[in-house]
This record gives sequence, structure tokens and C-alpha cells, in this order.
Amino acid sequence: MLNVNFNIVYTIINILILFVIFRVFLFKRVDKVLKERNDEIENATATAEKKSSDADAAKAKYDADVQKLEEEKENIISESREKGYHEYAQIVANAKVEAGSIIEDAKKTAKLESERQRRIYEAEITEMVVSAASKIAAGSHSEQQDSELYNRFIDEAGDEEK
Amino acid sequence: MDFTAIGAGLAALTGIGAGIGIGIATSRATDAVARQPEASNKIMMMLLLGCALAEATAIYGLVVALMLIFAK
Amino acid sequence: MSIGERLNELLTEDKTMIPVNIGIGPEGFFNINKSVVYSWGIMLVFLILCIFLTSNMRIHNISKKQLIAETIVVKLRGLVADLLGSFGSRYTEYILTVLLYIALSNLVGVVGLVPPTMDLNVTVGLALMSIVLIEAASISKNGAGGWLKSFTKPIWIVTPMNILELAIRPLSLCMRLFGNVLGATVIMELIKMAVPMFIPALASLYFDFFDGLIQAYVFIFLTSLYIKEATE
Repeated sequence: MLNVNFNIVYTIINILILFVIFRVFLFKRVDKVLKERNDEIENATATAEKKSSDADAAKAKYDADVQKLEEEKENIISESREKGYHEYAQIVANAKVEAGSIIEDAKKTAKLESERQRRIYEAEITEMVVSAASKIAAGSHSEQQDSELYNRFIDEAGDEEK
Repeated sequence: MDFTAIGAGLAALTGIGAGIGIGIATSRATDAVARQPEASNKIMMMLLLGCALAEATAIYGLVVALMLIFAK
Repeated sequence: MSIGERLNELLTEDKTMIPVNIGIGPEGFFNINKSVVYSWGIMLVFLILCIFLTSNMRIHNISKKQLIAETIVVKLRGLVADLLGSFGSRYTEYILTVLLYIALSNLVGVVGLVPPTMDLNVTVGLALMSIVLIEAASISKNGAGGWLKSFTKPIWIVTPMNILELAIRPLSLCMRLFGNVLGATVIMELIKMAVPMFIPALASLYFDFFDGLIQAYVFIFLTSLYIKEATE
């Protein structure tokens, strides 16, 4: 029952062989698969993380672009507003100048017109005077009297006109 | 006279120690489970282990007894 | 056949199965015992089982047997991971090998064969390997100097006890396993002779399955504990 012999060595060899069997056919194979699966999961996680960060970056870029466009829009609006204001001022100024010139013209025209009217008037008066003088001349008057009268008349008329 | 049987019987008395030991372990384990029922799985495991270790003395006695009788 | 005769036959039978005579040493020293031949059978069973379970392994769409293999490996590793500690985890595969070998050896009794672990040679071999592994772990962790110094811990006066432990530990390991299996087998024989019906099946549940597996676990538990203690 208790005899101990070389079977101890056989047993040790058996256990070592069994250890190799388990190592080669169980642990290594299973570990390999588990490791591969783990690697794959890690890869997938890394890819997903990378994609997520890419998306974040793209979104940030998009946001920045939007911001930039907004600013540009703001700029354009204010610029155009300024421009419009300028133009408005210009137009008003032009209009003022034009109006001034028109008024000037009108004044000139009015002056010319009045001159012309005066001329016409003068001529009419002259004619009238001449006719009156001729009517007077039909009476008995000397040449000198006539001319004197005539001049006085004209002066008076001119004074009146002015 | 052959006193082998008496010797074997004395060797089997190791069972007393194992019995007391397992009894104490079980009573403590019961206390522990009553106090912390949520740890009962772990306590059960420890109890089994302790019983297996305490049982070893009784087993030694058994081996000695059998040796006395058969391994001449 | 009386109980005494049956026990006598069981315990004193000649265990030799294959006589080997190489002309040196005592008579029958190199004979191959039944237990070793049964161990070959157990190894063959494990080999076939491993090859069957791990053949055709895939990463996706795994088959049921691959799932079983993966579950077994992961669970077994988890079982001893805590026991061995961080440094000792490199010996996980050896510890698991011993666990599976002892477990199947103890279960052989179910089919009526004599368990290989009932042969003292087998348990002595296992215990020797355990103590060698424990000391090797200590040396590889602390170096030869640290290993020698560890005998004087915690104080120098316990050095003889520590040296004695070198012998006591494997002795207790092998005798515990051997005695348990022997006791279980003897008691099973007694029960079989006394009550031939039903009861042996129930008793077999306890003595062969429960006790056998517990003893396998106790063996590796203690070995792992010693390794952890030596490498801390």
C-alpha cells in the first residue's frame, strides 16, 4: 500500500506532458483567439474614437466657417449701409448743387426776361412817346421844344421804370 | 497478543479533533451568514475549504489505522 | 467475500501493471503501476477533449464548443488568479494542469476504476513538484540570497521550523490527497458491501464528486497559497 518507487518519476513526467498538452492545445489556442478578439475590439474602438474626433473637428471647422460667413455678412451689410449713406449724401449734395444752379439759371433767366420786358416796354413807351410827340408835333411847336419834351419824358419814364 | 486493532482504534480517535474543528468552523460560519447573508457564497466557500483542511487530520488517522491493519 | 477480505484485496493488491526490468536497482523498482497507466488514459482523454474543443477556432460566429472552451479557460484562470497573486500568476497554467489532473483522477472512481491518486507514488510526485515550484518561485522572485534569508523570517529562532516545513508541506499535501481518496474509496467499498442498492449512488455523489473535486481544489489552493506567500 505504501511502497514508493520509480513511479514518482513517471508521474512527474506525466504531469509535465499533460502541462505541455494543456499549454499547446488549450491555453495557447484559446488565448490566441481571445487576444485576437480583444485586439479587434480595441481596433474598432480606436477607429470609432478617431472617427468621432474627426467628426468633432469637422463640426468645429464648420462652426468656424459659419462664424466667418456671419462676420463677412455683417461687414458687407455695414459697408453697404455706409456706402448707401455716402451715396445718399452725395445725391443730396448733388441735388443741392443742381438746385442751386437751377435757381441761379432761373434767376438769370428772370433777369434776362425782365431786361427783355424792359426793352419791350421801353420800345413801347418810345413808340408811344413818338406817337405822342408826333401828335404834339402836329401842333405848332418848335423843334427845340419837341426835343426837350421828348428827353424829359424818357428820363421820367426811365426813372419810373427803375 | 496482537494489539494492532487497539492501535488502529486509537488512531481513529483523530476523528474527535476533526469533528470539533469542523463543528467550530460551521458554528462560526452560521454566525457569519446570519450577520451578513449577502456574503453567504464566500463564507460557504471558506467553510468548505476549512472543513477539507480540518478533515485532513481525521484522514491521517484513517490512513494510520489502515496502515496498522494492512501494511504489515 | 467479507468486508475484511475485500479491503485486504483493495489495499494490498499488487499495483504493478507493466513490469519493466532494466537490471539495476531493487526488484520491481522500475515497474509501471496501474496509476501511471490510468494517468496516460486521463492524459489521452484531456488531449482528445482539448483538440476537440479548440479545433476550428474562430473570432466571430463562434461555435458552442468554442464557447465552452473559452468559458472553461476564463473561469479557471479567474479561479486561481486571486490565489496566486501578481507574481505567481505566471504559474497559472501549471496550477490549472494539476487541478484538472487531480479532479479527473478523483472522478475515475465513479466508473469503478481505482483512482490514480490512490497510489502514493502519484501524490508524492505531485507534492514534490509543488514544493519544487514553491521554492523555485521564491528563488526567481527574491534571488538565491533572498531565498536563503527567507528561512530566518520572521525571526532567526524559527529557522529549524522553516527547514522542516520544506518536508512537512509536501508530506501534508500528498498525505492529505492520498488519505482522502483512500478513505473515500474504502468507505465506498464498505457501503457497496453493506447496502448494494441506491445508497452507493448517493454516497458516490458525495465521496467521488464533491470530496474529489474539493480535494483537487484544496491541493492547488495550498500550493498557490505557499507560492503567494513565498513571492510576496
